[in-house]
Amino acid sequence: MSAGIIEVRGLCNRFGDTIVHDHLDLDVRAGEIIGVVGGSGSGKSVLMRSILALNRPQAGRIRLLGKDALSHDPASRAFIERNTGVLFQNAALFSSLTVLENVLVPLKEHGALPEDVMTELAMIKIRLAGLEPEAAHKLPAALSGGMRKRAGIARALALDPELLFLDEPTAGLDPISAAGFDRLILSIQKALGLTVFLITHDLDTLYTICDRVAVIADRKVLVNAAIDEVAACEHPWIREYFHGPRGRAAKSATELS
Amino acid sequence: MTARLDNHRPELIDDPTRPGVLLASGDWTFQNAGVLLALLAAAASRPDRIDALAVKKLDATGSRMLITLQRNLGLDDAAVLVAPELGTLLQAVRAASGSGQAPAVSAHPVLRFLAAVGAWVDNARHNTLVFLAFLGQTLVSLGESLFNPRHWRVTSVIHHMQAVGMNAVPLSMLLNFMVGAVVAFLGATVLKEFGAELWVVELVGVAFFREFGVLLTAILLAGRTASAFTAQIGSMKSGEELDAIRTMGLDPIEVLVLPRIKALLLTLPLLTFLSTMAGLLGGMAVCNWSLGISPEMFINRLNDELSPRHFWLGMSKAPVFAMVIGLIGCLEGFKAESNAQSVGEHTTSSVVQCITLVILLDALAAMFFMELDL
Repeated sequence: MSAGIIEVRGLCNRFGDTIVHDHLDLDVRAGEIIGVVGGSGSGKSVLMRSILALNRPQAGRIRLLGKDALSHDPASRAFIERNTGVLFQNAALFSSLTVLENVLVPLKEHGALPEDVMTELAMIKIRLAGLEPEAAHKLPAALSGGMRKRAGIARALALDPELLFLDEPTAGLDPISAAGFDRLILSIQKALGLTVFLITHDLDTLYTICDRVAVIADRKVLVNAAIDEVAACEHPWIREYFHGPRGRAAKSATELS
Repeated sequence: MTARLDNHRPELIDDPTRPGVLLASGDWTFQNAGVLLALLAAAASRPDRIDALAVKKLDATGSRMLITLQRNLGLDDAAVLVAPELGTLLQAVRAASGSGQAPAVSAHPVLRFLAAVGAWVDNARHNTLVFLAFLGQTLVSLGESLFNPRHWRVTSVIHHMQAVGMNAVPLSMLLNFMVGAVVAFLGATVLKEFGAELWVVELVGVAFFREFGVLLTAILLAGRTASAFTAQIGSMKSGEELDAIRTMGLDPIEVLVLPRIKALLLTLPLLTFLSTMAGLLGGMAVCNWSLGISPEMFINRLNDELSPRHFWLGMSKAPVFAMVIGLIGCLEGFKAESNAQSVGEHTTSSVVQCITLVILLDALAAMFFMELDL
């Protein structure tokens, strides 16, 4: 059954008078990279936070890996937490811990393994995320933005999750690092067989690595389909987004390569 | 979907039909890491192949276990058979688990202790120098800004006066009122033996005018205000706001430190006055209820017996304490590094330093004034 590793139904989010989501539906299939796009303030991050139960919606149902993501049942919460990895926008590394200690935090919390095995597993994740072993003993403040994001990925992968959430992974990186990061996400996803929920503004990312694209506008998911199909939509925001100068450049770049 | 949730216990057995083949099956996942470790430790036979085709689920942890097993048995990579769809993963983990371990850091405990003592002494020297430099820098900026009304930053000063002074009035007065009552009680207990209850008035008066009014207020502000200054400036530093201020051609000392210090210099004496009055009120209340000294008598006796110099001596310390609290509070904020741990440590350090220094200076001042017979 490939449908529905994430199933969102009728999600409503409201902050004061501002309605962010109005009966939003979204399906994510197992093993795909889904790119979530939308204008600033359209509720992409709120959607991710709702799925991760960091934000309680006013109404709606969310199922994650076949479990009710909004239930308070400790067993299903623990199951979901063990099987989801999150990279926050600014990596959200613990600033007083080294990279290695950061990656060890979830391992120590969820698994009872000998210290040296945990360290070894953490080092594998650090290398998988494309960091040199020397970076493991550095504090986040000593890392560049790109390295911090890689460290964030290593920590998100610590528990071998099925689902990876990435909030604007390439924001703030130079185009070369951003392209490298896209390749990293793709290679990790292929190697570990992950499902990736990716919030982005980066059109290059959408064209190069996403299997499907979900567009959030007018408080709903307008389309959720392969990128060419999405780009063919007639909605004004989508037209502007995909057929503006940046959209055309990204498209022609992928066609050339 | 339910298949995903089922967990198959991993197994590792000698294949009964094929000698020399180790048969791995089940889920080799992080969830089963404990079981896998036990299996690895128990693997006794010396096979020449590992058949992991029956492994249903494999993740990075499981792959690492499989690779460890293979290396422990002295087999090469080709001797491990996995399902083709899991091959990429195994390959990726194999590439990531090179021989280079994370370098370990260690030294002899005695050396570490000596190094720590040395670092502490060096740090103390360095901190003293930095404090003096900061004091000088602040005084220069203060002097410059006094003659330049455009740099007075009235709004900012008043904002800080509200936070530092106004909002501390109730707490400061309550504390002093209670301490005043306690001093009066103590005095009454001791002086009763000599039949000199009336001297409680002098005791409370001298204690609050000279020492307690200003000391208690300064200690309160050291806890309340110095910590706030450190945390504010520390978190601004970690958010690169200090750098932003510098790049705009502004001086962080003028923008951040001076308004705070001016606010303290203006409000600490006022707060001291209110606190002293509250302390006297506490003493007066105890005198009235339990010693039979009426408020009129209390005030008359204060007027007759106490010279105003006690009041001025106490007040003269207020600006000094204000400088100490403001300087240390701000300086510790500048010293904080951009992580939560460091901001916390410097906040603690700023409160400890302020309280220690305030009490130390107060003791020195008491000795100084005594020698001068004031």
